[in-house]
Amino acid sequence: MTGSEEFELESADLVRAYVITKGRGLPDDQQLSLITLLTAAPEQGQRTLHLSPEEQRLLDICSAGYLSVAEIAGHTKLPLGVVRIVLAGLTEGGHLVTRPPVPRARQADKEILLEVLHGLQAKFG
Amino acid sequence: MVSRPSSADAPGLDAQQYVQGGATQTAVKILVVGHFAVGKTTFIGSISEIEPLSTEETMTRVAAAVDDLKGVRGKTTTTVAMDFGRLTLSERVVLYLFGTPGQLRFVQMWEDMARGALGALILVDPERLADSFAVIDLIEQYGLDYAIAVNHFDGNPLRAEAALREALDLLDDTPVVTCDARDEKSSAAALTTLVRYLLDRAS
Amino acid sequence: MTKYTANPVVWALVLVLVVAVALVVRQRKAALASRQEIDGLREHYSDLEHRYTQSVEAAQEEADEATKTVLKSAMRTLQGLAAEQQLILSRLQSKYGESAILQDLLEVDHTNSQFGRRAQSIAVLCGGWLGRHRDTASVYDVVRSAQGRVRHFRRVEILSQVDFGVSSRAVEPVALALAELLDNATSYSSPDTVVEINIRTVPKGVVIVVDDAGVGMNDEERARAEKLLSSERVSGVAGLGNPPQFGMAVIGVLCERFGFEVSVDSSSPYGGVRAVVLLPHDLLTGMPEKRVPASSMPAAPLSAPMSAQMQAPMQAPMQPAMAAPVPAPAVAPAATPVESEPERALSSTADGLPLRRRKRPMAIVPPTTPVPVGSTRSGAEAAAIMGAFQRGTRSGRATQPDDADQATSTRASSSEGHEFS
Repeated sequence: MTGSEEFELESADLVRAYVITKGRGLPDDQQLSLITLLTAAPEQGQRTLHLSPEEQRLLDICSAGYLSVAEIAGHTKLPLGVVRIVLAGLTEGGHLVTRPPVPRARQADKEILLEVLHGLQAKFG
Repeated sequence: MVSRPSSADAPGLDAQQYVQGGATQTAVKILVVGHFAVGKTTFIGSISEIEPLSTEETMTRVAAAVDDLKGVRGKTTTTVAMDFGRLTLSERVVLYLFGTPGQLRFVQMWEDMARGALGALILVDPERLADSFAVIDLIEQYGLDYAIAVNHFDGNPLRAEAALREALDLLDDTPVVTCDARDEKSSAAALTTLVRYLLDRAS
Repeated sequence: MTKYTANPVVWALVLVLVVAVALVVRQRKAALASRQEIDGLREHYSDLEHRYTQSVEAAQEEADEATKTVLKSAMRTLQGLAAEQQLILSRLQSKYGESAILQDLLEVDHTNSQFGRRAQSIAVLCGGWLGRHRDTASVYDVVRSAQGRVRHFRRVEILSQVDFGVSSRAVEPVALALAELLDNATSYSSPDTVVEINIRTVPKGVVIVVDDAGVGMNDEERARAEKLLSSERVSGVAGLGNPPQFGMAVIGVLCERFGFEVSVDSSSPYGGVRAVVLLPHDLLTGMPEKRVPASSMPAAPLSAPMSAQMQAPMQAPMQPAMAAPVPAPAVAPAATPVESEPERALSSTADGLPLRRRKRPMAIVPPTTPVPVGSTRSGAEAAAIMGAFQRGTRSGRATQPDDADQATSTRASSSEGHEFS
C-alpha cells in the first residue's frame, strides 16, 4: 500500500482457474475427447441465472452449431483442461449435448478412411 | 474469455465456424507432426477450412514492468500447445488435423492427441534430418501408422529418397512424399498419400 | 485580684497553660512540616509513576513498531514469492493445460493463494504492502477472487451478479476483506453447508451479502468483532490472541483505509452470521472490458534462475536411445525434446546423413489403429512404462536432472519390455 513498488510488477489472473472449474476434476477422456462434437441443448430458457461468465461464454460459442472440444478451447484461449472441465459441467447440467466420436472398429476404420480419401479427392482434385 | 458477444441475437460465432451437418458428422483426426519450425502450422493452414486455431495463444506480450532481479524490459514469450485445423470432407466425416510445436512437452498431451488418431503425417526438413528423429520415434512408440512428407523449401536440394529412407530407417512400405506446405494442393496430396497407405494397412 | 496573684496555685496553672500552648504550637508546626513532606513525597511519587508509565508506553510502542517493521518486511518477501509463484502457476497451467497434471497444478495454485492471503493479511495489519497492481475488475470477479483464497472455496456459491466493476485500487482490498469474511463463514459452519453470496445494488452502491449456516456469534463475540471493525481497535498485531484472530482486524484496517463498510451485526436466515460489505459509488466503475482471457496468461518476466528452472522440463533430455550403439530400451516419451541435442553422438549413413533406429510401439495408445503383432503390453511392461513416465515427470521437475542416473535407471527398469527390431 505504500511506495511505488505496488505498480512495478505484473499480477497474475485475479480469478484463478480452479475457481472457474469450481474445483471439479478432469472428465474422462472417453466422455470428452479433443474431437467430441458439442452443441447447446435446445431448451435454454432461464439458464443464464447462475452461470459464470466462462460458462455463459462457452454456451454462446456452442449456441449456433456443432464444434469440437479442441475448437471450443481454441476460441476461448483458456487451457484445454479447464475448458474440458467446464464443458463437462455444462453437459451434466443439461446445457450442452455431445456427439462422441464413434467407437472404432476395423471395418468402420476402413469405411471412414475411404470416406476421408474420397473427400480429399473431391475437395482438392 | 476473449470478448463478449457482439449482440444478444447472435451470441455465437460466425456460421462458417461451425461444423456443417454437425448432428450427423463423425469426427476423425490425423496428426501432423514434426520438429520445431518444420512447417506444421503452414501445412495445416494451407488446407484447413477454418483459420487454424491453437489451444494456447501465441503470446507476445511486452512486459511493461521491470523485473526485480534482472531488470529486463520488454521480454516476450511465444508458446503454443498445439494447433489444429478442420476439413469437412462429406456430410458424414469431418477431419481434424492436429499439430504440435517443436518442444514435446508432456506425454499426456501426446496421448490425448494420438488416441483415436487415424495416423500421422510427419513433416521432415531434409537439411535438419536429425531433428525429426525424436518425433518419428514417438509416433512409432505410439503405434501410429505414418507417412513422411519432406517439406521442400525453395532452393533446398532434393535428397534422394533412398538416402532419406536409409537415414530415417523406414519400413519399405512407409510412404515418402515431397511437398510444399504452403501449397494447398501439395499438402492435400501428401495427406492423400497417407490415407491411401492407411487404407492399405487396414485391409 | 492581688489575692489571686499571690496564690501559687494560680501561678502553677498559668505555667501549665503556657507550656500546653507552647506544646500545641510545636505539634502543629511538626504536623505541618510532615504534611508538607508527605505532599512532596506524593508529588515526587506521582511524577515518577508518570514518567514510568511514559517510558513503558514508549518502550511498548517501540517494540510494536519494531515488530511491525520486522513482520512487514518478512511478509513482503513472502508475498513477493507467492505472487511470483502464482505467475509461474498460471504459465504452467497454460503450458500443461491439456494434461492430467493440470489437476495437480490447480491444487497447488489453491494452496498458494491461501498462503499469499495469510501473508497479505499480516502485512496489512502492519501497514505493509497490499499486493501487485490490479486492473479494474467486475464485482463478480472480485468476489470469485476472494472465493479462491479460502480453503473451502467449493462451499461458496455466488447466487447473483451485478453489472458493476470495482475500481483498480479497491480490487485487492475488497477481495482480501471478503476473503477474510469467507474464511470465517466457512470455518465456523458445518462442512456440509453452503456459504451463500448475493450481490445487489443499493442506493449507496453495491452490497455483497455473505450468509453462513453456522452457529452464529454470541453477544460477546459480536461486540469483539465490532470493536475490531471500528477504529477503537489496537493497531498492529498485539492483542489478537493466540492463535491470533486476524480476520476482523484486517477487515477493519482495510475498510478504514479504502472507504468501504463491513458489518456483521445481523444474523443470517440460516442461523449463522450475515456479513454485509457495502461498496460505495466512488469505489465502483462500469463493467470492465474483458482483457486478456483468464488463465492464458503468458509467461511474465521471471527472474533468471526461475526462468532457467521453468525451462528444465522441456530441456531435460530422456537420453534418447539412439545415443547408445547397442539396442537400448524405448523410454516413455515424457518431455522428450524434439529438437536434437547437437552434442548427441549420431551414427550416419554412407551419404553422410544422420542415422535413426526404428522404434517399436509401446501400445500406450489403445489399438484403435492396426498395431503390429507382439506389441500387447504385459503388466510388467505397463509398470515399466509408468515408471519411466514418472521418472520423466520427476526429472522434468528437477532443476538439475541427472541425465546419467536417469538413463541407467530407465534402461534397467524397462529392459524386459522393449527391445529394438
